[in-house]
Amino acid sequence: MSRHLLPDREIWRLLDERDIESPAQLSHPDRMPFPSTPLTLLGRLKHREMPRLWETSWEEFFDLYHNAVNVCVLGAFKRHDWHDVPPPDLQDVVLGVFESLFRGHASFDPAKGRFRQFLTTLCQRRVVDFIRSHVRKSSKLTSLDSESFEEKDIDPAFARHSTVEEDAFRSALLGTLLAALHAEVSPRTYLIFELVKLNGESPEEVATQLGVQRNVIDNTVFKAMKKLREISQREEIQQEL
Amino acid sequence: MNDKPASNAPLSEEELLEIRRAYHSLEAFQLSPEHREAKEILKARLAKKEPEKPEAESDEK
Repeated sequence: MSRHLLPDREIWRLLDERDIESPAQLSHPDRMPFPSTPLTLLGRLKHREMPRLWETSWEEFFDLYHNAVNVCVLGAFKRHDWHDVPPPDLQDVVLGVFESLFRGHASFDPAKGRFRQFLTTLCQRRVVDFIRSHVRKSSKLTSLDSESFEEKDIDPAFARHSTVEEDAFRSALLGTLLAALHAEVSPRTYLIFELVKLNGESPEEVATQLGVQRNVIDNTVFKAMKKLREISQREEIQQEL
Repeated sequence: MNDKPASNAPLSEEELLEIRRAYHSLEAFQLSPEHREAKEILKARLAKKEPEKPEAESDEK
């Protein structure tokens, strides 16, 4: 999961040239500014005039949220009693959700609610579009009332998530949290944290692999865990959790 | 995790467990052929020129 999250000098340089900066980012020339929340990641997606940044951003976002959107789209179809949507059609709708986001057709306003709610609504809209287009094409489906889709689409009760959807969104958000950690600590610190705490390797083994003392590993892991606590307590993360 | 009070303490092992699960679940999904194929298709779709009327009708409301 972490390979694509490695720092990228070129992107940092582009950001620097465009004066999109924060003092913390600029004080660390080897580190790519990385989103600490879905909000900042979405902010980067607005910079289509910077193709490299935009592409890296959408790929990161897609890696984190693809499963959640899959689950959400499937759930939306089921709520409309469409239980056997062919996989290519399902994929088409899922990719349509991302395309809407990445092309800037749909934009998130944090003042209007949580990000996951926004994404759920977007999934439902793409599903409604798909159903509408198929209702028009097929006389067998004329019994479906397109107006009722609109009502359901805006009904908050209908927009409630199932447990599976909640889990998928939570995983995506926790992934974002790790990505934030990756961005805010040194590559070596993240590597040590990843090996010991995520991959379950013993601190002794990691110390041997990296040629450092065991206490260096312990201290680094402690610092990373502390940083993770700090990131998880940020308001924008807490709102989504 | 969201119920924890603000503190300078490191994340607990219990809290880390959920993050670890999410990490492995995301990693497995990202390595799946389904995800890779979808990413390639999306890349091709995004490389295409913007259609004239990009707004889907349900976004117009």
